[in-house]
Amino acid sequence: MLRADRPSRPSEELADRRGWTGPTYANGVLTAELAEFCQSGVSVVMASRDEAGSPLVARGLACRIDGEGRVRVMYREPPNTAFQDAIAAGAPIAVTFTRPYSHRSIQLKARRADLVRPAPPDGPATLVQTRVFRDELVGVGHDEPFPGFYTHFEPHELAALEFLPESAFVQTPGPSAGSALEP
Amino acid sequence: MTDPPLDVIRNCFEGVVPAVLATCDGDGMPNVSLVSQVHYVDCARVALSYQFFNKTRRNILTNGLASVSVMDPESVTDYRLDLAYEETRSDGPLFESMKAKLAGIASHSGMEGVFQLLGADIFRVTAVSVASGPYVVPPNAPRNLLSAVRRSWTELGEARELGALLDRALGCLGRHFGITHAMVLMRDSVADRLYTVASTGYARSGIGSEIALGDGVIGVAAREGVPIRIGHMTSEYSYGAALRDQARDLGLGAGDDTRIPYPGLAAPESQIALPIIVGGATAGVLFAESPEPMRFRYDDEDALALIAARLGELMAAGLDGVEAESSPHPAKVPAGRAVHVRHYGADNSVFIDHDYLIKGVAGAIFWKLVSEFDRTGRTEFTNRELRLDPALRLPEFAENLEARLVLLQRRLCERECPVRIEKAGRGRLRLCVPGPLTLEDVPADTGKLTA
Repeated sequence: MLRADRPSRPSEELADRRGWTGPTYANGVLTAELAEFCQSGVSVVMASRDEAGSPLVARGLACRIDGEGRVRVMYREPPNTAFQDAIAAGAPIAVTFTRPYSHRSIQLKARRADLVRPAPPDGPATLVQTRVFRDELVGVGHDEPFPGFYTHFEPHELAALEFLPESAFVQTPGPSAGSALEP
Repeated sequence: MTDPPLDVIRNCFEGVVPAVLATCDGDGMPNVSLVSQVHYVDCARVALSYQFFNKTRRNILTNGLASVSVMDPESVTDYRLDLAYEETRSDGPLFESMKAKLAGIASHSGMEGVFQLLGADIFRVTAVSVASGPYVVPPNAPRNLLSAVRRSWTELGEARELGALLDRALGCLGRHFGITHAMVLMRDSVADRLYTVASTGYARSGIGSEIALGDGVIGVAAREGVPIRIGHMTSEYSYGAALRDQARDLGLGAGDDTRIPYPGLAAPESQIALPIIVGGATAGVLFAESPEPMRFRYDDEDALALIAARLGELMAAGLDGVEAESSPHPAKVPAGRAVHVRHYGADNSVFIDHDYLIKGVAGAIFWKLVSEFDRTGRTEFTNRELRLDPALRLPEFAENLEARLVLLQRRLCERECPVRIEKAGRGRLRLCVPGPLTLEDVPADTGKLTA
């Protein structure tokens, strides 16, 4: 089975962020390396809350991050309508990106997000990233047809939202998981 | 009850695909993380593994609400569950059951040593909905488990002796459940150990081999009185490691003559152990294993728990331990040569012609039988006199004597011992001795435990 010889550790993620000297986006919340990780074909899961304050879970497909650090998440609309309604009503958002191979996991949060019409590059980017993620699911031992169907989407189902991350956290399992990623 | 009911979507709770857990803090800010284990508790509740004190944990304790997405990897169906927190358990049957399963998940995902269960957070499921799928018609189940239980139930009821009942149970597992590696162990409540009385599918039977209470899935199932199963083997529950540790703790080396090797598979992936309850206490364990990962699912656990319950019920009803026939036939002893029996009082270990036979209560029973024969020539004994003999110090369970007699009879056969025991009628046994015996007793205070 294809797994990292040693899983990622939260302490390493925190140290890497503190030692980062390269470009950053979204007012320093995202490093260029984190942005690249989020767009590399990984698991994308999301949460918001309804008007009563109850949490709502959602599953995404892929993301694109622009030069200012705005994160655009592509997802299938039909399974995630309750979550989408909450975002439309101005509820806050949390998105976690995870790579199964190493268990590396990062969470981004913002007080609001905007539903946006999918742009022409969104479909191809989603296709590329979900193919990478599908191969990784197979690589870590998931038998088909699960990886294929899990990452499958019909073009007409594709929806998108955008947000400027206000904070980032390490979610990799282990001590210090959940700590804020800060300079 | 939720729609769909939780017990028909239990494939989601095997830990094959991580679940997604959403919570909110006191200010309404959401948090989302992957969780390795959502455990089916009953038709209205699930339990989540609490492994680290993090944001998720704080949020759950703050407002008690969570939303989780779980996937059935076979049908590729995404179910969303709304949860309301009830309580956390940090020990006991549910905790141990989750701990074993989590250890398997950790081993499978390269997270051994990272995933550690601190508590089982129990939630009431307030709503279930299908968010996506199914995309695939799941493959047909390899067998009808309800039918397998029904057929086994009938067959087990036909056994008239304890040994036959145990063999029949293992036979049923093979014929009706497709389980080819299994054993039954009985509990020695004084020594806090379990000893093997029946097995199937192994190169050697391992009859008489022992497992300490709390070791591996068998030991934990016996200690907690709850089924324990694991879908991916992990060193934490491996008997290889456990037995090496025990040997080290006891100061035993490879030369110890009174250790009967544990018969289990060298490289199992799936294991399941089900307590056999008699009179409200764990009297033994029904154990099965497979080199195939994820061989035993929730439905298998339910079905095998019924088989274990049936065994407990029949044992409680009272069955003779000793069987009528003992095969293979005993070895011939050359005319004029006596069979030498040595008994060590320190642990009641018995050696016949320098070969180790058995120890503990079974060893004490055998020593009583041959001593009485040597003194009086008597060959027939009643279970009642054995049960009442203060020297044997039989533990509390009534069926324990019968289990010791099964163990003794099987060891005598397996060692091709010239001395045998066999059934001589209801509640009676006969000692079959081919010729003269020479008995040597090494009292406890002088005993040296080597042959």
